[in-house]
Amino acid sequence: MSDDESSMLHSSLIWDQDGHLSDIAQNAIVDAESALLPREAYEHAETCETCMRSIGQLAQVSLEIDDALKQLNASYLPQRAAESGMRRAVRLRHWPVAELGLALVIALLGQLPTLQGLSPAGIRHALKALVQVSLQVLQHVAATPLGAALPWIATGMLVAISGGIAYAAKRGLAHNLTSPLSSQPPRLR
Amino acid sequence: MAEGLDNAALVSYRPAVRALIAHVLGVGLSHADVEDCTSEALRRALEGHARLQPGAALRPWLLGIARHVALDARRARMRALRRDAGAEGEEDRVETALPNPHEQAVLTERTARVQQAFGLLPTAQRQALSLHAEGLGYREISAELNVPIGTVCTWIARGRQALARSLDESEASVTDTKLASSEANS
Repeated sequence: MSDDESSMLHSSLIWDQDGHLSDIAQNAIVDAESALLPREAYEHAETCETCMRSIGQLAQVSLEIDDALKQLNASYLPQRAAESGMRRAVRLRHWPVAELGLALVIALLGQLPTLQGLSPAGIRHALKALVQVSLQVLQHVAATPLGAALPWIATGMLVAISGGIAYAAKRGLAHNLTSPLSSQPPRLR
Repeated sequence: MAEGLDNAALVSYRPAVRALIAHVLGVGLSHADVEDCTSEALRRALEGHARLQPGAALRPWLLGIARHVALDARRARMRALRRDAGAEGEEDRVETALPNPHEQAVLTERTARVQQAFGLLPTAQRQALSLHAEGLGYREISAELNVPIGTVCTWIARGRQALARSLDESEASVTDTKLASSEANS
């Protein structure tokens, strides 16, 4: 029942060839998705016995589906979580990996002229200097109060990480015990 | 997910509420009971809206009220008919707001049918219906599943169609069984 036509469904999805509302439009009315439908669709629904009969049946079915899903929810939620995890994995797979790789190669090629003047001895010297500087920085930090606290900070981090791993493992175990992941439909009682 | 029950929402849901009531009563739209029950259902919804849990879906709650009001009206009508027919007293004892054991068995059977058929739906339809049952609107489902809104509409419509078909088949099989047993008895 919206006046904003840009947000509405295309008329071919709303009307059947016989002039009645399509099943998509009837479902949208059941779900009160009024922004998707023009005013005429609601006006038609209010007066057309044929469409209203279908909408009544759909509303009844939608309630039965809700009831059934409510009972199914406990066993379906883990499945949904798995599906959403799969969706995330698919999204990751859809990252432009090839394009990123190509960009890196082009960047490296751009740096090639600057690497031309370096000899193996020069590279060795640069690495040696880097190691020496790093050691000096570490020695300097160790002489400060922060350096004295570093072992404690490292110990604390290790304890926190191991605690996190133990908590995650416990949750995973509980999840597996209480809600077995199954894509099989539930059996008739 | 959380929906408010304001006038706009009431106007949007009114056709579905009215259609459901007419369906449950088994009468046409112009029947006086349909209008009465629709007004009663919407009145109850407005009054009880504060009791709706935050985040709970509005549609099943509102349609549930409509179904309840219509069932009450149908039972009252049946009681009146039986009273007129001279069976006064007996039905008043039997009729309650709760489903009787037979109705309960039928409901259980239908729920199991829906659950079984739901598991057989294509993943996309299952996801759309499940998210919708959780209270998400079509646009939210569209964003969640990263598909156009028209696709969501189609998935929900096709999914419901398939589940409705499974219910029809279950009714047909029950009828066939009854016919077969009555033929065998005769």
